[in-house]
Amino acid sequence: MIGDTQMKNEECKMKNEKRTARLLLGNLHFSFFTFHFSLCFSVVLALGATPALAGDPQAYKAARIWTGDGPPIANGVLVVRDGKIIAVGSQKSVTVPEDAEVHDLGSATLIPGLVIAETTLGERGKDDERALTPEFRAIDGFDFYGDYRSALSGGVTTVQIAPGSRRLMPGQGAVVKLAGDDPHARTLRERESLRILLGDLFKSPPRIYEPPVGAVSVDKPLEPTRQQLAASLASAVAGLRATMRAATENGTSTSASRKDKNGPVAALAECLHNGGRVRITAPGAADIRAALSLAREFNFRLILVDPSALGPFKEQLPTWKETVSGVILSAEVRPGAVSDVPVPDKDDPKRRLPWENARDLLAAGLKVAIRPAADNDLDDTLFLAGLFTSGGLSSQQVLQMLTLHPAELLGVADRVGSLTAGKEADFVVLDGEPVGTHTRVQAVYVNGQQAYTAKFAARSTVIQAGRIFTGTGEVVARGSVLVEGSTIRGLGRDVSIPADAVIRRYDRAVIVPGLMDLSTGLGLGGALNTPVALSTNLGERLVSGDPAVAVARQGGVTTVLLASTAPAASPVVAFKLGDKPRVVRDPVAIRFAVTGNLTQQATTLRGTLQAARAYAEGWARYEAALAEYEQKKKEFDAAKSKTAPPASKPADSTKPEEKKADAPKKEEPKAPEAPRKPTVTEAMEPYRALFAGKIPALVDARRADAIKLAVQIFRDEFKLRTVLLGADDAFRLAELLADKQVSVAVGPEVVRTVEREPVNLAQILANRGVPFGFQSKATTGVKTLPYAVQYAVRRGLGADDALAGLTASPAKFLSIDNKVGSLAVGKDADLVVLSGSPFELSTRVLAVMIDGEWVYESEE
Amino acid sequence: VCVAVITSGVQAQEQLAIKGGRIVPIGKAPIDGGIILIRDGKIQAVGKDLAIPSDYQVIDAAGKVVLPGFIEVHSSRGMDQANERNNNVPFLSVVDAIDPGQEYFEDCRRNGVTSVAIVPGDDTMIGGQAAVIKTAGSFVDQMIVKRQAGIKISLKPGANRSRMSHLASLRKEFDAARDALGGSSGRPAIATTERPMETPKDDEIKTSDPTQQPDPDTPEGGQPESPVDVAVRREALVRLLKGDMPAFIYCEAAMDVPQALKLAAEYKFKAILVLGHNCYKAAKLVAASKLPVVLDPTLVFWESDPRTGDEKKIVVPKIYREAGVPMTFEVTGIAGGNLFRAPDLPATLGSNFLWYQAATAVKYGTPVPEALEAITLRPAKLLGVDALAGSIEPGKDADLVILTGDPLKINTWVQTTLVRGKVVYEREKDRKLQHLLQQEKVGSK
Repeated sequence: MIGDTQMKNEECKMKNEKRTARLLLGNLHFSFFTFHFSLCFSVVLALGATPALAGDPQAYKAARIWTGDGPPIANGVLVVRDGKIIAVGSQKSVTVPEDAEVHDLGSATLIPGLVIAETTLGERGKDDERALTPEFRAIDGFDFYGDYRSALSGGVTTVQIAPGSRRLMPGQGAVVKLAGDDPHARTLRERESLRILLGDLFKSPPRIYEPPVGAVSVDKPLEPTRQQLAASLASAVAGLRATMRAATENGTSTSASRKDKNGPVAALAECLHNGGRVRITAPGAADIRAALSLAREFNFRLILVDPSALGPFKEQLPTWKETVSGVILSAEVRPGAVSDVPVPDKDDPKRRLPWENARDLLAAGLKVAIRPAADNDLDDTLFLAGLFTSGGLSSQQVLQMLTLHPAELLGVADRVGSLTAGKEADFVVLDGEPVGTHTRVQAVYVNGQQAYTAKFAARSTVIQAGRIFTGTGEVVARGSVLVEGSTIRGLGRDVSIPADAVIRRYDRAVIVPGLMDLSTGLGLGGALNTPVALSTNLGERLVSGDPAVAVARQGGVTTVLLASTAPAASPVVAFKLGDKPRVVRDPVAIRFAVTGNLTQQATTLRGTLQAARAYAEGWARYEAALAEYEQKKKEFDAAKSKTAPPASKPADSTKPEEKKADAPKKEEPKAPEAPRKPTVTEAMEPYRALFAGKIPALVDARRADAIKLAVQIFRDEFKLRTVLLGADDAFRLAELLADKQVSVAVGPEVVRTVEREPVNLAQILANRGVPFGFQSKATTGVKTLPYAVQYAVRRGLGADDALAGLTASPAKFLSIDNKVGSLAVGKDADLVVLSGSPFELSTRVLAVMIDGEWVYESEE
Repeated sequence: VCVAVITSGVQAQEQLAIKGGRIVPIGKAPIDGGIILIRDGKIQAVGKDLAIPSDYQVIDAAGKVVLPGFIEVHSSRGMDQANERNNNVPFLSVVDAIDPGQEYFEDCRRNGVTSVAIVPGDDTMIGGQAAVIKTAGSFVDQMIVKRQAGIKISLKPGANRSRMSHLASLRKEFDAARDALGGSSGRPAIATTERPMETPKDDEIKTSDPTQQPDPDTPEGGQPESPVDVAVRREALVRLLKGDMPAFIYCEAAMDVPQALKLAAEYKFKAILVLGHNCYKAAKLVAASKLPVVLDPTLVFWESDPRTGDEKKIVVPKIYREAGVPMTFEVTGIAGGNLFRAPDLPATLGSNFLWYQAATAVKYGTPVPEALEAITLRPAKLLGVDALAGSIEPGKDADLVILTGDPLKINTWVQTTLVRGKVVYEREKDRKLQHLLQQEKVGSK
């Protein structure tokens, strides 16, 4: 039906073209043409919805094509139309139709879709209570809408499904494809073969009531359950023989079969009629003998499954061809697993490996199919089959046992099993030789449609936007940011884009650096208001999956600071709000508080800082002395090696000048003395970075007197880099702060009303040149910090200054600007995509990226 | 066709006129400010400028919306239980189990449902015969619209049973029915008590004899059946194969859909697909089959990918609409799934209301007229009762709903429900509803 429509469509297209041409030439019948034109147009539209079904041939060029029934073709091409192969061969010999869409697969190898001659992908684990149910059909239990991606990922496209595996005669198998829309088209054989299991699996069917339980009375008591059939091979075979005899005798009488067409006896008769196929699982030598004798007696074609004990039959194998359609072998190992080898069979003491069996069977001219030992291993079929090459089989033979042989054995070779013109286009794209340790399946096609494609994670992302604010005042219009891993690798108007990059376009949007919040309660799943020892590494305490973090970052904040709000000196950690918190620097600062009774505070602080300075200076002196020592030591060692008489000196008489030069420096230099190392006090360690100027002191000071005191102690007396937290009254002291080079973290009340006048501290600081950032002191409220800043912008703060205050400026005074705070090549990929200019009222956050991962995307 | 007998209770309001308001007849353009004349339980005339005879009692529907009564196309409520424990009971009829006094019917009237097809549940292989009934009446015989409205077949295998075994049993039943149909002239062609063939003498091979198979479907166990019993038991299936009635085939999962289609094609019977929510995967197949469809109450659900863990929202009505399948809806069948399910639980609003199902379809893209058709005329056609119900047309039963506002809106209430021209529900007199709303008010304080 689809083909019909396509033909009509093509005809239509051609007619259209002609007509359009005539129309252009000024032909008549205008209305007539337009009518038809619109009609055709609608057909084209309808087909547009299913492009894969379009009738254009598809040509796949590949370095090698293994057709499954011969040697590989180098530089081959496979031409497919409407799900069928129309040509295959070398690129020189095959003419690709002009209208074909050509897919150049480069160095890839094409093989036919793999055919597995036995799986249990049908209904599993629900064996009937009865031992003989030949009327059961595996196809009834197959889920055409199931998830077969795992098997497809191994290149398996067609499978036989077994009806059950724990009863003597569980029913009839079927052959189906693992992908496709139409269940009817996917069913290659509805009834493939009757299954019989010998060996150990069938030997424990449940005991059943016979006849079934009816009314129970004194006269008619409940009878005990009875054993069904056999628990031994001998009685099982006798039972099978008797049942088959009954079926074949009755099968000829039409009345009986008509009466009970789908009943067990009729079903069995149908299976055996006209040399039907029966597959018998026969692991032991006795089982194999029994299977062969049943096949000869009832004249059916036998498929032997897993005949491990083939040794005794080696001589007879050539005579098997009359009875045996084929043999199904499993690799008997599971990939990557250690398995116990069975104890030798008493009939076949010398256990043989599956590939030895395969070699002998192939040599005897029998068809051999390979299957994995378990359905879960279907994705490793090529690997498991590859093991057979260790038995001296060629790649071509192994491939045959996965494609053409099983297809023939299942009776579906007219449709699948090799890449031959006329067959269905089931093929697998490999990145190497079919039997190769590192070969991977890249794509699988079933009936010409892609059924599986390997997904290799894209390593890079390109974000394109209308404008990019780098955070340092620069704006790139129509720019792109290239992110590889967690790092920005390119930024500008025209960045180089790797082939596999995922490109995200935000045409009118604006990209800004990830924002920063200088004081939050995030990261620990709750507030931190108890004192924390300075030696604590807060970064190690951060927890993943804090739900507050997921909310907080929706506003665009990507880096936050966490410290205890207790008055004592506390470490401060800077970390990213990714799904897993990542520490930027720990500690990034030390937090102090100048609050409450200032006189008392001043004394305490001075005491603390003096002790700290003493400790830090002790270390500084030691380090200086150590550096000096090392320098001297080096010089000394150098000198010593020169003065020390070389072992060959007496013989060395060729360089007299050198000797002369050394001679005057004869006086022995004194070995330098190593400085004494101060003892390490964990609680004081962070002060070394503080006094070395590597990290700043964050000082919580709000009132004017507190600010003054803080500046006096931290800046004037101890010469520390200082950031005031809160600093509400700093608007009165802006000049002082500018003069003393003190920074400020504004917030959480960004705009305050003081004496009935609104005070926009950030704007005042900006105008005085005092560097500032913002703090929210919140958890989920971190999300709203940008809105608070937006209000400051409304009240006069410049948008550029506001953005700098949320990004580059604090990054700089915290000395973490080498990684965060601005967008530049080499920095962390923390960015926010906004729908418009930053701080505009209509602007929304579209997406947030932290360390190259999208952590938030609005639902637009 | 069973034509209903007009009950004596209707006499009092034999002649009625509904005046004013907006009439939505379904299948035709709405009439604003129209009049519906009702006589002897039938719609006599519909129009804008009709003269109302003086002896007609007038219902003023000004500012309200009049619709044909809603029709539930598949419900297993109103009976003591939905499923027979026995797996193979084609001879049962729901008519024998319907209890008109059940709260379910009261809920139906309260929600504007005037006809409902009571169908055996989804758990029985061959569950028995369905019937279409009105939701008002004291005795089931007065309520019946169509007695043999279909036979219920479920493709959901019982516990510990495989689909292979289930389908093998079903085929066996169908074969027997087909044989009975083919050999209806002369001797009964159905299996009799005599042994059909010699059995092997080997004692151990009991299972080779089909009559001796322990058959889980045999209702009375291993009792020998008389030919008459068998004929009665199979009669319903034979009628199905004759084409006298359709089969409601329940498909639990998408994989059952191809099997249902295969059975319907092989045994040539009329089928109505009752689709579990996972059947959406087979939407294309369903569309191609052109068979009528009843959707599971679960219209929207989340599905997670077993490999990636990705969650995906599945909107069932949208999928079928895009596939071009005309759908009808089912409501949740949980006992007491109504506004008053338990005194201590809050009232719920959801898939337990037929109009809510239609509204859900509208939410995900179905136009309102189509959604309304899916709960009125379409189920009527599907059940073969469209000559009597499903739209407001002269000659049809006067099954009407008067709504306080536009249909499928959350704040619209059913004002009045009429079944065969008789007022069977009035909101003012609904003491349960008033009680509930009172409770809500108290609760909100």
